[in-house]
Amino acid sequence: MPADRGLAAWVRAIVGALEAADPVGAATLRGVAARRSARIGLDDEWVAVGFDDHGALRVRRVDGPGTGPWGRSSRGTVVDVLAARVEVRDAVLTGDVEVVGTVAEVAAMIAVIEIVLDAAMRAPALQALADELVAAVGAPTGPGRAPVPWYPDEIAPAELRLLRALGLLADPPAATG
Amino acid sequence: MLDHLRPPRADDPTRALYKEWLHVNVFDHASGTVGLVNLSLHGDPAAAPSRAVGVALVRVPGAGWSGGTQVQGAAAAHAGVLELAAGDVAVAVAPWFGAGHAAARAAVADADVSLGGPAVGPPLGPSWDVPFGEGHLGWAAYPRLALDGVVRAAGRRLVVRGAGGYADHNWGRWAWGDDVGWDWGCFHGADGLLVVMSRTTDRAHRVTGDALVTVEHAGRVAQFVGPQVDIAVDGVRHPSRRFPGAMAALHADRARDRLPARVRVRVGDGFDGLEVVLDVDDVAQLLLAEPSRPGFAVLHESVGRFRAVGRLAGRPVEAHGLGVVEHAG
Repeated sequence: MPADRGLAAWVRAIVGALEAADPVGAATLRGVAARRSARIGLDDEWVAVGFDDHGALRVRRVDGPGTGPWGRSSRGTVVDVLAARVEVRDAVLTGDVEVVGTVAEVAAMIAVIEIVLDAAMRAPALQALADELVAAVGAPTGPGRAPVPWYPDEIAPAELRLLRALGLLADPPAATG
Repeated sequence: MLDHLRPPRADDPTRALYKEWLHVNVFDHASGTVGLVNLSLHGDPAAAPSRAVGVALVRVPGAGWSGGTQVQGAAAAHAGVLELAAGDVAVAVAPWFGAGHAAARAAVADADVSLGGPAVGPPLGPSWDVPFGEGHLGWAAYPRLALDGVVRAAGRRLVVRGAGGYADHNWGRWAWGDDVGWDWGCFHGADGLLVVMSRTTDRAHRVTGDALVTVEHAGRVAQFVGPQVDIAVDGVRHPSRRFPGAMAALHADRARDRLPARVRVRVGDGFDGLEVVLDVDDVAQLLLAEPSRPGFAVLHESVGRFRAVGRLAGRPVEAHGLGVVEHAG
């Protein structure tokens, strides 16, 4: 099993590969990130990530999430998402992915992830990084995770029945009681 | 002319939009299992972003989908006359009736498929190359197959003997994300009835081209086109699995796409007539990225059981079996 880069090196490699493969996407990412800084956690590692006034990526190790916006997950969850064993929505609902901040901060963090994912479809270097992570963690085996129902308990059964009758429920009936 | 792969020439100005694949379906009536193996090439074969996508999906009743996709650089692909291989997925077809056969081998995630067998039906005929998006789409469907082999899925090992098989070949030039799509379906009866339907559409499936339905029964082939075909859908199903994971994460908004729970194909030309009704048990979603520029398409594979009632060559026909309908756009 190949050695793992460590979180700070993963972040630098991803942004570097994005800049090389998709300069427009990289510029968009900088625009979305603007002058924000966020902390990212992966398993037990934490880094603070942001771009300085010259647009250069700054990554430094920190002890935990701190008081600003942050997001965290685990290598196992990331590999499960890449292997289509779990939907992002379900990973959020089970707490395997957490993103914390104001609405604008959370939206910016999600947008950054989407920019990287979108570029990765046409960037072999980014795909190679995904393959490297899977190789380091180990390809998952066994069946995928079951979907997680997300309707809160306070929604009345009658309301659910009405939504179901109108075909407006996003979740399958079995998951909604 | 015998069919063959159609990789772009070096001086082809449209090579960035190159697409091609070989596809095999298996319908095991004894277990109700439906499987597909597909190896596809996307983009200029010499360009680094171009992809070879291997798919192995097996739907076992009561156990859902097994398998998934294996995405690699197009340079990993090996091609023959009608053979494609990349990584752990390979499909080979020799479509000619009498000496024809097809073989599919794939080991992706928790699915492992090894199948092969001869053509046992007459030539189906469908082979066309039509305008499609900013390019064209070619399609050739091969004779009905009888497949032997082993399918491992959902922790089970299924030995297949003489299962129903279907194989086809697509090629052309277009970009995933163009305002195009298609409906395709294959219905394989336990008694040997084979029904194949196809039509091109716009991406939203609001505008459809003329449908072509080919029916093979008792060694005889009948075709129905345009107004001789009526396709209707009813009910709602959602995808239960989506592949590959990175594309599913990027397009989380497509997780609850609405697909039909029932598909009805009715054909008639005044002499032959048949109605096929497929009740969909499960849907898998495949998301395909365009390697040459931003853009993507979504393919849904809906599998289930069908029943068919009609009159062919002056004789009443009643059949049941397994089917798959593909909704792409």
